[in-house]
Amino acid sequence: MQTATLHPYTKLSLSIFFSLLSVLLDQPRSLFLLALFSWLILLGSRPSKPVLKMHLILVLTTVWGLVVSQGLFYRDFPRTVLFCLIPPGESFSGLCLIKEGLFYGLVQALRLVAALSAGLYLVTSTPKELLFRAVSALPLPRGLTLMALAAVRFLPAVADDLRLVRQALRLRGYRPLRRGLFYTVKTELSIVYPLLAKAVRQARALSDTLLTRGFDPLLPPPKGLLPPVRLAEKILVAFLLLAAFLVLAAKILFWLYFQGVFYEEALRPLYALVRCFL
Amino acid sequence: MKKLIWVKDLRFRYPSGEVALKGVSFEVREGDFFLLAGETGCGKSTLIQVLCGLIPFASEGDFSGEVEVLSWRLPVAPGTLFPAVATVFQTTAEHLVAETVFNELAFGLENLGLPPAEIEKRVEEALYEVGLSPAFKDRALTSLSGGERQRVALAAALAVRPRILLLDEPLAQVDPENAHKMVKLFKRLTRSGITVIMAEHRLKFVLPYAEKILYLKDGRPLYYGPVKGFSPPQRIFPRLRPAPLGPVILKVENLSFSYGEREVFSGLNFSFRAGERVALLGPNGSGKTTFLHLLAGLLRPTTGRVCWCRRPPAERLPLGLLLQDPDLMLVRECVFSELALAPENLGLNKEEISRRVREVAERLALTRYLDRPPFSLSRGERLRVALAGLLTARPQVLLLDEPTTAQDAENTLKLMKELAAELVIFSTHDEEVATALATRVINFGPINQGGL
Repeated sequence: MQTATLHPYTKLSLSIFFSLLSVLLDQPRSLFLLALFSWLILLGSRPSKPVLKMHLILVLTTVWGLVVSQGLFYRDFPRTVLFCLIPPGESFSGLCLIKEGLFYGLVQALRLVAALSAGLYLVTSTPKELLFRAVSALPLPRGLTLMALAAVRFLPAVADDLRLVRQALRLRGYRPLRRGLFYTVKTELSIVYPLLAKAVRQARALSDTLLTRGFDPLLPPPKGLLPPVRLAEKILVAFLLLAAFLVLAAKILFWLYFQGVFYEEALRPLYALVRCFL
Repeated sequence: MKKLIWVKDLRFRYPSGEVALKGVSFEVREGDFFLLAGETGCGKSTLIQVLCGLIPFASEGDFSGEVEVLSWRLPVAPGTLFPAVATVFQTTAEHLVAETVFNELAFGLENLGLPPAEIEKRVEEALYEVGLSPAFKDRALTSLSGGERQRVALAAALAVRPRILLLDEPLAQVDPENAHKMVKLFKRLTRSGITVIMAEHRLKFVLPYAEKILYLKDGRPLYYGPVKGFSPPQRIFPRLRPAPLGPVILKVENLSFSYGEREVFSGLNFSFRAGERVALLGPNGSGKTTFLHLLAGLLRPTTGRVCWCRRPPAERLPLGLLLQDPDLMLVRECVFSELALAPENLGLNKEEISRRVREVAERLALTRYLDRPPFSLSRGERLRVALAGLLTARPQVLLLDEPTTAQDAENTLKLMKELAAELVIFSTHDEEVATALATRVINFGPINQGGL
């Protein structure tokens, strides 16, 4: 399945769908399937090796961090101690690896992996320009979308400038810590002066451009500069939105039943479905 | 011909106190090719900002006099003058708003609320007008050379079909061949009814085509009238006396460099000796900055190497690099401490640091600014502060990336005279500056292919 060629709005919908379900679902098997699907969609966009490497690093660090931290610091009951790194003492409850904590951490990690893969799929498989155009065309005031996009675009430029400022300092003989901690901290902080000055200059230039090119922040977003969404994709998006809505509704009904607020005999199969799968 | 612009006794002072325009009067008629000329800092850009409505509408300062643009009496919002008045600013890169060529051109058209089909059509027409193929539509603006970006900015201005086109130094980033082509294009536009007002200091390219000229000096009109009666003031660059040549300091062997798959240059071999003043000449994107950054060790060559043959004593830096954007070198809160930074890093004592700072400040006419924050100074002064910040470390080799930007002929000459280093290598677009100030010119692009 080639998922890279989907319309940006379809991708955005997929991304929102996976993010929503990652919050709504609680069952580990469902979350695992969700994370798996999300990952397959990312793979379906044929990401480059660096993207895959980045994804792998993000997933591994996320899973490792959540599983280990929850395994060590889980405080709920029941608790099954697998082994102790520091055994409990008289005034210390010990540092032990808890089985339920590891499991809970894994579930949380699955949520993050599902949302992360979907987000990465959206960002890495959509040409930047198309993504910008799609965001610009969202039904929001242009003043907001244009400024957000301009800020995003200037970030790499700021990173380049930062590198250049540091290189220029190095060429002027500056070496961190050579002249003491205070001097180093002062010099490192002073790097912000040229970066700020340039940011102000660029903001001024941008505002001059907007003023002289007829920009009105309250104008509605431009239409028609995006390719049309194919019918099949429209159906897919409708299906995804419907599915997300149904899951949300089922969870609400189950929660009402669980809290003793509302119970309906006819909904028993639904309660069972939510309890076992959602 | 109908009168489109009418200016009478225009005066403008910036909030910093700098008086930019002192009693300027002129008029522009429909279809004119009108040239605003004068050295850097004479008030050309300020006048362009007045004509597009930014001054006084979006700028603080003291504005007086009468200005009428297309029957609108200033102050009016620049948006009111749009799309009848379109502007191409001097620093094109900073004034582009979109990510790709298409979106940049479409921006103004979207603001006019045109339907997508009309936008597509106008974008293609505008690209054709400035000599860019339709394939450019999808190119990222960051992948374009300075000259190409300039054309895109021009196309974006033309796409909205203006009546008046304001151009602020549109030739600043293009080589002579393309400069000629662009000026011919402006002339063609005037024949189609567009009035072109162009601020430019490289007069030799424009004078054969312009009809009227307003020549400014320090904000005051020095000449106003038909180009035929105008004789441009000579740019005098007396040749600097060459120093006796010493031993080889720096060698470049079989140097090649590529950005990804794009090769910038390959197989360069040079030796640089003490006493030389070397100009790297070429248009934007030809590799001058890359070459300087390779010499300074900021980039790694793809193949080949840069060899330093002699190292200076410990109280001097081996090299100083003036960046193309010297503002990125200003990190201290006042000029004195900015100039003291490099000597401090060399571990010199306070007396020696103070002595060096005052000596260099004196040479570069910065003494009265020593207590001022660097960013409160003018662009040309900031460049001198950045340069002075290098000179206080007495570098053996000075690498200067476009040191003549924002400097007029007189200041450029003064600056180059004060450069005390065994070897100076500088980049420039300006052929006159290169031939007058350098003892050797290395050609990086199509400028004067015959060699110097």
